[in-house]
Amino acid sequence: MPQQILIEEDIINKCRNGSLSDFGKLIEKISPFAFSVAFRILTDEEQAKDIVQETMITLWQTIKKINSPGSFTAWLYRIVVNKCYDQLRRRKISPEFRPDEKTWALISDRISGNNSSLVEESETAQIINMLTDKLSPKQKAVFVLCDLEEMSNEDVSLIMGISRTNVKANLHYARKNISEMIEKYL
Amino acid sequence: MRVENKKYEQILDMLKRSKPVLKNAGSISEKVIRQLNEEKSKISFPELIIDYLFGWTYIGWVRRSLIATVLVITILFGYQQALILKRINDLSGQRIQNSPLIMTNLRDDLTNRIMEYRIAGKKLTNERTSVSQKELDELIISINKLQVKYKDLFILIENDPQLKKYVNARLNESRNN
Repeated sequence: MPQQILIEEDIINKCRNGSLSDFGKLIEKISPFAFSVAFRILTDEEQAKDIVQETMITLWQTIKKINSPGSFTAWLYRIVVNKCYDQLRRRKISPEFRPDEKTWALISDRISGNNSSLVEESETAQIINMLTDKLSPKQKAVFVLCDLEEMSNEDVSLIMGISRTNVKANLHYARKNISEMIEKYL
Repeated sequence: MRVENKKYEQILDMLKRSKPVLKNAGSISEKVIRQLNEEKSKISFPELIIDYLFGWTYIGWVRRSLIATVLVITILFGYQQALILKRINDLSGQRIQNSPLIMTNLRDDLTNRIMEYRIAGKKLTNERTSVSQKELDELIISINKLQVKYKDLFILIENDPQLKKYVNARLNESRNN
């Protein structure tokens, strides 16, 4: 299962029975995880928040369909990724890549002096955005889930509804593309 | 390539550690609950009744059981239909015998055989039979009369011991010859 979120089975069952107050508690627990994935894929805080909100509504509408509480995490990530995926497809693809010198300088600064301090969210967004600019929405989603969220290929395959071979192929292409950019600009 | 790999790993490590944080999860929760409450109040009475009556179909194992039951019933229905069709075909292939002759009181085996011959005779061609319908009728009548007479004769023999003895002796003689 993907990065397990610790939720009591009881709370999920109460939500399935229609308890909105328990669903409120559930949202507070799971929304940070959903936000992390959405933010890393979309690299936009406001859009990520909107996706989290939409995800929670979809989750409420479909929570009765969840067969077992064990599959809840995979179900949640699947909704988030599908919504992000749709959002990415709606975005206009930039005709050509424009390297942002400031961001590259920032990345260089962070890794050259072994600067292990955490980067701010806006910077994270900039870096991910730049590294994944040339990737397709699917490749981007696979890269974020596998390399940033550290999920296994099997989990990503389950979440995205594609085969493991397909996950591997997309991940390979994404890594290769990002490595080439690092080689070229850093 | 190793340098690039190292840089890639460093960037990846940096991004992994900088996990995005949702600052106000509570407000998202409030917004969602408010929206859901609004939607709930919009739900019409018939929808509520339908949800109350059929909401249980969302339960996974119930749904799977229903699907399995539907499949079994469909297969049984198909099987039954095939069986009925087969029986109808068999029935239509059978000969219908609706002759009042069959229903008459047939006295013994010989009469039966004659009757059968008579029924079959209707279907025989002129080349295959030389007995006319009238002759057959006369034959049956004479056999019936003969059988009555024989019965009377048997009763007579049974009632007279001397005659019975005589008949038995004659029968034994004829068997020995």
